[in-house]
Amino acid sequence: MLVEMYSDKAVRTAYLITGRVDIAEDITQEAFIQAIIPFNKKNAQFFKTRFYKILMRTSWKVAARTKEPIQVDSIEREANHNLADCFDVIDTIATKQGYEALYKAVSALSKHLNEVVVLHYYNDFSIKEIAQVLNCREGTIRSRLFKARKLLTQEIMKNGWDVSYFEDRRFRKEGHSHV
Amino acid sequence: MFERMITNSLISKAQTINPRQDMADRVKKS
Repeated sequence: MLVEMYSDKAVRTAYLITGRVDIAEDITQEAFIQAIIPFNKKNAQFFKTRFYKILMRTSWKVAARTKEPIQVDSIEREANHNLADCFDVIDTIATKQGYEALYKAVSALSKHLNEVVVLHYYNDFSIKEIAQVLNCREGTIRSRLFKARKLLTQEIMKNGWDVSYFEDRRFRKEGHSHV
Repeated sequence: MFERMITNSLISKAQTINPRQDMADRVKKS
């Protein structure tokens, strides 16, 4: 069934947009209801586009009303528990911190840049699919993705993350001799 | 590679929540 097919990813997408776990399921439910009502066999192939269009619109609407500061995972707490003089553990924590820093940078992007990043990099939507969901030209989407990547790079470098280490599939913060 | 890290970052954040598995029922009831 369509709901089962899209549900988990949609809830998580709404969460990434709003930063609110408590309302992500309500947003998804609302998007399903709106997308399914006019749904029939003729327009079945357009369900995904229509559903995500509604999901993004509803997420932003709710986010504008209720957005709270993005919750920061308890990385420090985790570090205190796990730092057992083990470089692998330090590496893992550094990677998690890198992910968190990058997610914060994504969530700080403008609406137009944030949504293309979430659709492209989390939902694996093609440029064409994003253009359909957002009613934009493909060139516009490409341009937004380019700008978003540039801003994300600048933002995380500003916060001390060394982008050159990404090629090692790791985030490493400057000043760490081993990690 | 940077693009892969963006994906990993979003997946990592998204996986911190566990959506309930009753969405189909919720939609049906509505």
